[in-house]
Amino acid sequence: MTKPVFLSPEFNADPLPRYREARRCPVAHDALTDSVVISRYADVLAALRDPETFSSEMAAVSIGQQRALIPLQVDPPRQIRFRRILDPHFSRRRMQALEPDVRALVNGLIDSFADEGRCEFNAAFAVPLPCTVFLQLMGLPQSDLPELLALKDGIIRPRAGSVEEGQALREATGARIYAYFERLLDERIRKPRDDLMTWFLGAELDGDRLSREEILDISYLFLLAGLDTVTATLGCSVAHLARNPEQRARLAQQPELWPTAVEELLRHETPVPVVVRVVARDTTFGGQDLRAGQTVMLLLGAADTDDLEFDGADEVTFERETNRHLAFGGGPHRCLGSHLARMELRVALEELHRRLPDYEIAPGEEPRWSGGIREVQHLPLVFPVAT
Amino acid sequence: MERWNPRGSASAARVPGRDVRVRVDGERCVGHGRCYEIAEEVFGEDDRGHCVVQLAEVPPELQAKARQGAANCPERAIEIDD
Repeated sequence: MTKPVFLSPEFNADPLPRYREARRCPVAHDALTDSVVISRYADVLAALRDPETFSSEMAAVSIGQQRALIPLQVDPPRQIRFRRILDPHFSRRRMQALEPDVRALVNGLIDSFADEGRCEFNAAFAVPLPCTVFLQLMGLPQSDLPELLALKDGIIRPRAGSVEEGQALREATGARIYAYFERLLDERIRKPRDDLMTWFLGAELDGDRLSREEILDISYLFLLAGLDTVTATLGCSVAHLARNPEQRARLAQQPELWPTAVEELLRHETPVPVVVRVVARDTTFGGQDLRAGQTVMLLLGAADTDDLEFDGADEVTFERETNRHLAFGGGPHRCLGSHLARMELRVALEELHRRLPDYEIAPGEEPRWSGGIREVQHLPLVFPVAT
Repeated sequence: MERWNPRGSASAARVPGRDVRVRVDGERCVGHGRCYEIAEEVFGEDDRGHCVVQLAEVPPELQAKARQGAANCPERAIEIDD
């Protein structure tokens, strides 16, 4: 059998063996892509914390954008201005205020399939939940959901035969995303509302407002970064718990374990397995010479299962007392939405297991992972119908 | 062993011993928020969600939680002097 390629669906279905293998050569050169693969926890953290050497600027990822995405593809010190403006809107305190709405939304979604005794979890729950939260935050109508999903998927998973076709489709979709948010901005300028989009228009730091282009570049990133990641984490977590009924039973009986369980599932599953950087200046790292311009893959998933950092790293342990996982990255580009994601995940998993504590993967079926971000695109579940 | 409860109350019994000093390195903190999720009596958040030490001198009954909060910081931004 040939080895699964990095980030392929086969890799994503069972990444731990490949992570273990990768850590044997902690700073490796991948000849196929001429990139550097970094896989030990300490090295990944050091690279995340050093944007002067490992830049997150535009060269790193091409996802159909015409300009650098804000704030991810801008490095400090310029990036700090954007984070100062955006961070307060995504602080834990702000996200706590959304919790009752998210809980109601979660229960509405569960209502839609609880009586059926089965569901395809990705389509029925994991996709619509974060997308609907995003629509509400941005002040977009629920009727725009199909369009936004099509735009997001056109970038993240373009249906194309070749790499060139894929890139062309991404660029075309990218143009539609800009047009979508341009239209929305015009509407909010005419008629301000109580939403993030309207707030962007008035946002300033030290008297310096966000420009129209900057608002578009932030919105573009939100659409791409804010949806798939929570979808993937929900799918990975539920797939894991479907296969580990004794862990699931404990969580159903002891819901007070959820805050730590969410962290442990984030660590063990690390739904964003890799983040990409570019070497900004020639350097030596982990005994290897790195050239300016080289692409660097920081294997967050390998870092999060590194036994030099975590005892029993391959096992899921809800009592893990020290869990400094990097599922949300680290350093200045720490995921802006981490507090929103954590709240959505905790509320979703709490309610799901309160209402449907006994589920399993439908007999004769298998979950199917995507490539890239670890979305479980097919997750058929069966469960007893509550009487 | 008592199970660690991340949302636990501060109702721990009085424990003998001296206070310890807690410091956060504002240059290292990037707002993961693990410290104030775990030990909200000791750590708070500013408007960006970065850590602000609420209780610089931590009494013995809160020291276990303070240490737990510090130990879970991915940036290693919190120091506790013994």
